[in-house]
Amino acid sequence: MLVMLETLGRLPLFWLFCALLAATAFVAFSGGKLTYARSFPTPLSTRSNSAGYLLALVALLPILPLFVLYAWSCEPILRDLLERELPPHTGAWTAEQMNLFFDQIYAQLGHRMLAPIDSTLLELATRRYSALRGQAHLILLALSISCSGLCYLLTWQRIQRGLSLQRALDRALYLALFGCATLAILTTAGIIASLIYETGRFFSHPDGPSLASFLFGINWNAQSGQSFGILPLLLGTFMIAIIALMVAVPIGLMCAIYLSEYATPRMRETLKPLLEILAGIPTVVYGFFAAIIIAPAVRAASQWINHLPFTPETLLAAQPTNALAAGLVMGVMIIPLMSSLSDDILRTIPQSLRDGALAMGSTQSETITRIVVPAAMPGIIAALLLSASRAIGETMIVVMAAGGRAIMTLDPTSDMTTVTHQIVTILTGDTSFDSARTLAAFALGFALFSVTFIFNVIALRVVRSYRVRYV
Amino acid sequence: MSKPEMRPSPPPANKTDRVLKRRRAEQRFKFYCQAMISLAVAFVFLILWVIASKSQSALSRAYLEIALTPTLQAELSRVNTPPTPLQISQLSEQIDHALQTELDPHAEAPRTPRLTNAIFDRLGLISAVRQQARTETDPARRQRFYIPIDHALDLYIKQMHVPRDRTVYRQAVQLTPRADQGTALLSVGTETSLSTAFEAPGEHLVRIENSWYEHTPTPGSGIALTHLTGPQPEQPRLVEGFELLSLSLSSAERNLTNQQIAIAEALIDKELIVQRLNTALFFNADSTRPEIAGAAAAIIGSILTMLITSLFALPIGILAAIYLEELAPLNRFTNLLEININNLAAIPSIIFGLLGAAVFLNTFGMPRSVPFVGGLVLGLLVLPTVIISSRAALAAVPYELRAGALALGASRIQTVFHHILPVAAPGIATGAILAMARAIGETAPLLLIGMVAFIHEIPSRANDEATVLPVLIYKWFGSAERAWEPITAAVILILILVLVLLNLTAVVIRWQMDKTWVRR
Repeated sequence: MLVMLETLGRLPLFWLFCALLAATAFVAFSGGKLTYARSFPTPLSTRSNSAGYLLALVALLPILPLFVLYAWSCEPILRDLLERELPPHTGAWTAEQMNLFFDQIYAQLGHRMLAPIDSTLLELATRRYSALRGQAHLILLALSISCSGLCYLLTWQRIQRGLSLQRALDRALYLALFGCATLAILTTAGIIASLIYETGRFFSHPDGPSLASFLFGINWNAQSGQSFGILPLLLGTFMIAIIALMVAVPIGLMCAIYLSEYATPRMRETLKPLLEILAGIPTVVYGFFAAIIIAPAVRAASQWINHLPFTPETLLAAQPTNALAAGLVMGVMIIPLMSSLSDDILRTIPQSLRDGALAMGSTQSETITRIVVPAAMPGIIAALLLSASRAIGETMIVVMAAGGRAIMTLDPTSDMTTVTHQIVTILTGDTSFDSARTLAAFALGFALFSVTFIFNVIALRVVRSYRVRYV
Repeated sequence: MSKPEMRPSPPPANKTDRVLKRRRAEQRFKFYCQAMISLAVAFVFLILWVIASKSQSALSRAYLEIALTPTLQAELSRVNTPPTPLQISQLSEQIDHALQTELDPHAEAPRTPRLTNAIFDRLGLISAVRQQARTETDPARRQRFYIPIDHALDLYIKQMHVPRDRTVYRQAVQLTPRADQGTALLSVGTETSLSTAFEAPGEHLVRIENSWYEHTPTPGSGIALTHLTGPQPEQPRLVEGFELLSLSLSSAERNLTNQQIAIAEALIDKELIVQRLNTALFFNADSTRPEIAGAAAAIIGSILTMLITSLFALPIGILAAIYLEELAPLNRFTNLLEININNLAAIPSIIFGLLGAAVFLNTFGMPRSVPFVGGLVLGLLVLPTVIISSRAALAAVPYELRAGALALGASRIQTVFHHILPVAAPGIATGAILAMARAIGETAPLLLIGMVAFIHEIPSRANDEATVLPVLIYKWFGSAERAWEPITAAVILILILVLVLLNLTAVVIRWQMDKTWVRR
C-alpha cells in the first residue's frame, strides 16, 4: 500500500494530468453516447455522438483549473507537513540549509543525481515526501473525478429535461474557439503590461536614471549600472538597419519586379522557393556567416582603404567585428521579406493599368517605372516599413557580428551595439529581477516594441487599404 | 497619382535613334532585374557553400588507436560507467605505458614523462570509455580502443593549424650525443645547403630514424638538437639521412608544444593515429573540450521544446483560425483581433523572450533553462503564424462546400468540423510544419529565459535543464579555441538538414493536396 502511494507520488504531475484528461474524455464520451442512444433512440448516430462530445467537454471542464490550483499550492503545503515531521535537531537549521535539503529531495524525486546521497535522513525524508505527495495526488484525482462526475450528471439531467443538444454543443465549442482567438489579445496585453510595469520599476528604482537622461544620454554602460543613455544604442540600431535596408530594398524590389512582371510562370515557380530558402535560414546561421566571412572581409577592405595613398591612416576603425558586416548580412536576410511583400503588392495592381500604358506605346520598363511602381508606391513603402521593423528587431546577427561597444560614431566599420544586443547581454546568465541593470533591459524592450509597433501598424494599415482599393 | 506633366516633346531629330535608345533602356532595366535576382539566389548558395565547406573537416577527426593488450583489457573491464577518477588515472597510466613501449621499445623506464597528457585529455579518455561501453557490450570482442586526441593536434593533423614544410635529406650525417642528457650534435660537414635550411625563420624539428629532436640555435659548429621522443642515441654514429620539419609559427604563437607535435608525428608514422568518423558530434552532450563536445543534448532539447511548442501553439492556433475565418461576427472586436494578430506576427522575437522572462520566470516562478518554458515562449511566438496560415488554408476551401452543408441543415459548427476542416487539413498541416520550422531555428528569446546554460547531461523530460540547437551554435561560436569553428558549422548543417526535411514534408503535402483537388 505504502509502496503504491510512493510510486504514485513519484509520477510527474504532467503525465497524471494527461492520463486523467484522456481517461475522462474517453469515459464521458462513450458513457454519454451509449446512455443517450438507449434513452432517446433516434436513427441519427450523429445525435448520440453530439451527446457524447458535449458530455465529454463538460466533464473535462473542471480538470484544468483544479490541476493549476494544485500545482500552485501543493508544494508549499507538502513541505510544511514534512518539516513538522522532521527530527528535532533539524529545527536548528537555517532557512538556507532547509532549502538545500528540500532541493535534494526534489532532485531525488526527479531521478537527477545531484550529489551522492549518504544520509539516511534524506532517504527517509524523500520516501515520506513521495508518500505524502502520493496521498495528495490521490486526493486530487478523487476531487477531479467527482467534480467531472458532478458536471456530467448535471448536464445529463438537463439533456433529459430537453436541452437542445446540437445548440448546446455549438455554444460550448463556439466559446472554446472564441477563447483560443482571444489568447492572441492576451499575449499582446501581457507583453505591453509586463514591459510597462518593469519599465516603470526601472525609472522608479534608486539606481535608475531619470526619463530625460535615459532618452538623451550619450553614455551607455549597463554592466557597471552607472550610465543609461539610450542614444548610442539607437544610433547603432538605426545605422545597422539603414545599411540593411540599403541592401535589401533595391535587391528585394528588383526581384519582386522581375518575378511579377518579367518572369514566366515556370521561372517564378523555381525562383520563388529559392528566395524562400533565404527566409528559412535561421538568424543564428546568418550571424555565424557574418562573423566568420563578412566581418573579416570588411575589415580587410577598410584596412586597404586606410592604406591608400590619399587617405589618412585612421580614416576607418576597421574593427574585426563591425556594424557594416552585420548590416550587410541582415540586408541579405531581409531580401525575401521585401521581395515577397512587394511582389504581393505589384500583383494587386490591375492589368488594365499595364495594358493602357503598353497600348500607348511605352516599353515594358517604362510601364513598370512610370505606371506600376508609382501606383504601388504606398504599398512598397509599407513593405519598406515592415522590413525596417524586422531590421530593428533582429538580434542574433548583431549579437554575433556587430561587436558591442556603445559609442557615438558614424563610422560603419567600428564595432557598435544595438538595443537588441544590449537586451541579450543584460538578460543572459543569472539575473535577479530587482536590479536597475536587469530592469534596463525591459526599458529597452519597451522602446523597441514601441518603434516596431508603430511601424507595423502604419504598414499593415496601408497594405489593408490597398487590398480594398484594387481588389 | 499626380497629373501627367505636359511637356513639349523635343523635335524628333532622329527617330530610329530614339527608338534604339528606349529599347536599350528596356534591355538594361531587364538586365538589372535579372542581375539582382541572380545575386539573391547566389547568396543562398554562397551561405550554404560556406557552411558546408567549413563543416566538412568536422565530419572526421583524429583518434589514438590502441590495440588492447591483456593488461589493458583487464584494466578497461574494471572501469565502470561513470568511471571514478582513480580508475581513469590508472587506465591512463596503462595507456601511457603502452605508448612508451610503442615509441621506444628498448627503454627500461618511461623516459618522456606523462606522454598521454600531450596527446589527449582525461575528459577524452572518459568519453572513449563510455563510447566503448556503448558500442561493445561483450568485453571479449574488444580489440581496439579509440581515444579522441587533443583538438589543437587534430587541427594540426588536418593541416589546418601551424603551416609547415617537410623535407627529406638523404645525406649521411654524424650524430654525436653530448654530455648533458637528451641533447645531441648533428655535424653536417661542409654542406652549406643543410645549415641554411636550419637558419630559415620558424622552428625546426628533425626526425632521425624513429626519434624526434628539436633544433636549438646555438653558436658554434654543428647543429644542436634536443631530444623530444623516440630512442635516444647511445654513442656517436653515422646516420643515413634525416627529415626536416619546418614550422612557420614559433611555439609562443601556437597552443602546441614542439614535443606534442613530435609525439603526434611519431604516432602518425607508426599508424597509431587514425582518422575516423566523428561520432561524438551525434552521441555526446556538450563539453568544455571541443574534441568530445557533441550536439546530442541539444538535439533532444530541441525535440522536447518543439513538442511543447506544438502541443501549445497548434491546437490553439488552429481553433483561433477557425473562429476568425468561419464564425466571427463582423464587429469591432473581431477587427481588433485581426489587427492584433497581424501585428504580433511582425513583433521582434526578442520581445517574446522578454515576456517569458517577466511573466513565466518572474511572476509565475517557473524554472530557468527548461524546455517547458522555452516551448511556451516559442508557442506564443509562432501562434500568429499558425493562425494566419491556417486561415489561408480555410479560406481556400470552396464556398459551395459550406453552402451545401448549411443547406442540408448542418449547424455552422457541424459544417466546420465535419466538412471544411477535413478538406483544409493538408493546408493547415503545411502551415503548421512551416511554423515549427521557424520555431526550431529561433535563438534570441531562448537566450533570455536562460536556455544558454552549460548542459553536460542529455535531458529526458521537459522539466530538465536543456539547450537547443541554435543556442548551442551561438554558444560554440563564442568559444575561443579554433577547433570549435568546424563543429559549429557541422551543427548548423544538422539544423539546416532538419529544416530541409520539414520543408520537404510541407512541399510533399502541398503537392499531394494539389493532386487530390485536380482528381476531383
